[in-house]
Amino acid sequence: MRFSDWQLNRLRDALRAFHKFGLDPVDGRHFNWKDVSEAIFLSAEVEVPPERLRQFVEGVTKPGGSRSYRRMQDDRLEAIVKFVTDEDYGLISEAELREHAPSWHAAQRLLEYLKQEFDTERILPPSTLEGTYRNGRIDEDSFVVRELTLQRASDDGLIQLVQIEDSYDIIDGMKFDYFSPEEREKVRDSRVIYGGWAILTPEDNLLMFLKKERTGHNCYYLTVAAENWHALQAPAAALALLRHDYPIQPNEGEPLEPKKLPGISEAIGNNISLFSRIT
Amino acid sequence: MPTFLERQTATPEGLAMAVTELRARIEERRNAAWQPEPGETVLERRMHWEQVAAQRSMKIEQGEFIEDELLPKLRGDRDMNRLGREFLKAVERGNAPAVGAYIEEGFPPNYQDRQTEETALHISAGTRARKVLRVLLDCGLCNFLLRDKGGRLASELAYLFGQDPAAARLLGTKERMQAEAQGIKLTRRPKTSS
Repeated sequence: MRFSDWQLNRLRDALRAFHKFGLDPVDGRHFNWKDVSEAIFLSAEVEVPPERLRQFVEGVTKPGGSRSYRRMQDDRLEAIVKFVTDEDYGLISEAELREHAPSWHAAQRLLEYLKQEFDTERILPPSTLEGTYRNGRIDEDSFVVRELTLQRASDDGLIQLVQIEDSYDIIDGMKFDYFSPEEREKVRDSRVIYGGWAILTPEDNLLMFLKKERTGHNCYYLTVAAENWHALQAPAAALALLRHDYPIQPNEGEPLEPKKLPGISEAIGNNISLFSRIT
Repeated sequence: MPTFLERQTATPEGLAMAVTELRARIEERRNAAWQPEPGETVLERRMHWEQVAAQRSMKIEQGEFIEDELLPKLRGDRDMNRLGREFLKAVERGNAPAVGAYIEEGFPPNYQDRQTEETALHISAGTRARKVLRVLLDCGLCNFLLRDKGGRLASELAYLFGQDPAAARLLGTKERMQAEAQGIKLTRRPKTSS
């Protein structure tokens, strides 16, 4: 089994937590890397040298001050997976080791379904869409900044997505553009991460399906206005997207009727955001 | 002091009334932009939350405030669910003044999301919302041993999603202390198979 960087980091987090928070039941001392190595051996019967394990989790500082993480042989990685998902230790579940991002099958089926008989050729998402886009807006008492990254489309036309949603106090949010990345991190109130995929329909609609990493809640985006992406010589400058999760609910007991439409249109309008390219 | 049966919250109608009153108090605080806040210094905040806790116990005794034990009875209450969603959204946004105001006005801080069973502690840990986490720790009313639908404690979300080892360590300590005090053997996850 091959592991993505995201999954390797999740394994590192689990091992780090066991090393930091675990206590020896006999003398109550915290575990060292030899204890972690022994626990892996007890669970999976594969030896992972303690120092190798430490370098895999904590990394090694290079002469320039940057940090790199040691690679781990496949059999040892498998042993680590067996250990961290072992119910006796319960560090993480197998579900937590799976990324929310693809199931690609659903995306491929949707693309197949949307294909029209009269389409002479299959139009793939242009590379001009690839990149990171940002939108900042006031949402109730917070200033919410969403960064949406569209990765390079696969040969099948599927685009992997990541959205980072950061919240700030409104006053800090007004100064967002003037803050350095370090200052933003310092004043940030919270961060929510989403992963998912997108397809480009034959009509050039980008349909995006995201899941909140922590809970699996769904969130959708739909293109509401677009340049002719295929004709662009330079990367697309912006995406105009309608964000949607739950339907707009009328007040309790009130039926949906024509006089409600202006209110619904206004609420929908508030969910349209312009994401501007940042990279 | 009213007896248990004389409390407002002892009957379904009285409980619904308590939710309506809670909603009105929270709306008032919302209109005041969640002011006043608990204080700047550690000492001010400690004194503030001690007063809140004392007042809360008294109001619960009188049946005006909703205690944790009554939450299962309110699972179908539309107003309470709406308040709960708004409370947990404020937590996810890291809006500490709003979260503090909800608790001061009597909203039960151990409210669990109906779908995910996350508490405010889980969400603040999983989103690295440190200002909210501080409010929740300061208020002294949180149950650290509640688990989300995946059987996870708040400390686990701090390292899994919050990338916050310091918060994970602090929450882990609180979880162990509460478990010891209650004589509970703490496991990272409840066993799913025998």
